[in-house]
Amino acid sequence: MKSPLASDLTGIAVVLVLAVGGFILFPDNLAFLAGMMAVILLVVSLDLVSGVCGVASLGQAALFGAGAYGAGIAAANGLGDPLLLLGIGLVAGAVAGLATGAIILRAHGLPQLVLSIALVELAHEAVNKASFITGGSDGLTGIRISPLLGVFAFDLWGVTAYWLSVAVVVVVLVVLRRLVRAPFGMLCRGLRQSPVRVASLGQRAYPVALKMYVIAGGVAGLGGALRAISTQVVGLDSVSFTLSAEALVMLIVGGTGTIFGAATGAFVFEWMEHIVSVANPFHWLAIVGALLIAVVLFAPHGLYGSTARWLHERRMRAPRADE
Amino acid sequence: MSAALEVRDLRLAFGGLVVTDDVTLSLPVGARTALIGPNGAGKTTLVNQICGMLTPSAGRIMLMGEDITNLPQASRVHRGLIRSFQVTQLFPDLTVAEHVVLAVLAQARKTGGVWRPMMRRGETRERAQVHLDQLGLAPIEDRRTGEIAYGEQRLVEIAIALAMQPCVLLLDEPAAGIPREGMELVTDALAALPEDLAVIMIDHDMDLVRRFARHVVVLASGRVIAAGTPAEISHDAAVRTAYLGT
Repeated sequence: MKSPLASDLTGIAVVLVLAVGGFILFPDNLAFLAGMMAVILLVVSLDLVSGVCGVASLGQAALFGAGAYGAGIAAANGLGDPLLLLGIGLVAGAVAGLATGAIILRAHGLPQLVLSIALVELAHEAVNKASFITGGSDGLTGIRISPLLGVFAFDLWGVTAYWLSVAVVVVVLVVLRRLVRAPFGMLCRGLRQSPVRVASLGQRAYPVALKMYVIAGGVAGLGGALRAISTQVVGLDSVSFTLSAEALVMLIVGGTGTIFGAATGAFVFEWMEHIVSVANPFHWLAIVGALLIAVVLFAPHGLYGSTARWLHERRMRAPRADE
Repeated sequence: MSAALEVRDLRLAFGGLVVTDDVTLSLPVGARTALIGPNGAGKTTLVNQICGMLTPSAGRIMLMGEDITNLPQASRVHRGLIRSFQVTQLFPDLTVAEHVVLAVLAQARKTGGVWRPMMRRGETRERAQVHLDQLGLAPIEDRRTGEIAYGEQRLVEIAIALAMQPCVLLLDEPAAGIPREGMELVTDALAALPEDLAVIMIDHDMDLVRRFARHVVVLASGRVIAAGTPAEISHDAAVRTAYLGT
């Protein structure tokens, strides 16, 4: 049987190969690829909340936006160190996760979903109104990023931002894959599948889910900070319902509850959007819709999830075939 | 010495419908009690109140001399009041071994770890393995519970309950759905339960009840209508009436 560690190493190797391949094959698209990795972190964060924990959310962009504006405002006010900004984004996202999670997790099912939408809309409006600090609908500008480690300047082509994004995504994927296999991660997976059993193990669902929500907030905030660093502008789209809904679509396309599935979904969706919207700017959403329908019908566990299940079932059948 | 579990005048009513009607029962340490009664007698409802899933309208529940009536379910579990379910409550995507290891960690209050993989905790894994071996689950320990037979899922339920190291164990129809060849594993597991553990078991399998229980409580329409040894109960007129309606 393939060990989880082997799966992780394979997954990370694939990410690194894709990163090197992207750098060599698409040198003119590094800024786009760096932006894609920020979105990967957003979708992975949604996976922690929805895929692992079973919390219905269409408001994950509120956490992403908290990280983006937190880092952006700090950078616009003279704190330009990129690693410090990542830290600020992480903390801002985690705090936003604590504040919103404390409310959202009081409800279940559809009311929970509506609460998450209400919160992201409120966050969007609050950011819009606070234009004196956020730039409102014009976006937050004046962001100045210092060279990474004092050496690697952030250039127009996005080389530094690209490799910083790759490093952050790899570290986050490694950490989260361990997290979901640790006792706390297992308990969260249990919470999604049978809250009654979790309660009978002497565990209270609310604090468990809230802890995961805060962790997810940190990851989303990290993604937001990464976007602020790589684009050096933060707009209202960073804290929009649209971005939240797109993140959910990406998660479904890739598959829930596996972390790698979320990354796969974000990668496929963003790549398709990039290619198809250039080829057909008016009807590209129809093609995305067709992809979503195809995935739901033919790969209900998502592209990664269905593949992983197929491989698992094949492995389980293998010994019987030998008998 | 106080009883392991004591229920005094427990009552639960939903409006005018009384589902638990002044139930009183006492389980000494090491008790082997069967709770029987016709369908709809309120057996599972009573167990749900004892373990904290339902709040009684009146009455007291004492665990090892401590009043736990107003304690939440989690606090009761941490005091050793453990239950299994009539309808299996498992995590379909987790393996058999992962369930039992998680139960061992939950009992030790070590479910908060975020870094070290759960299945690489040697001592915990060994403790879980004892229960997996005891219930014959070792050959399927790497299978997801969503993929195994219902009877095997019932055995996983029991393994989880044992891994939680209970002082009072509430087994809600532990043998339901278990195939004949698996019954021996269940009866062996029940026979091997620690002597100082108080067990209350709901089951319709009277053969199992006779082999397991030293004391039987009969519930009908939410009331205790009879209590005694299996032999006494089998000759009780009220019990015959409740079951056969004659």
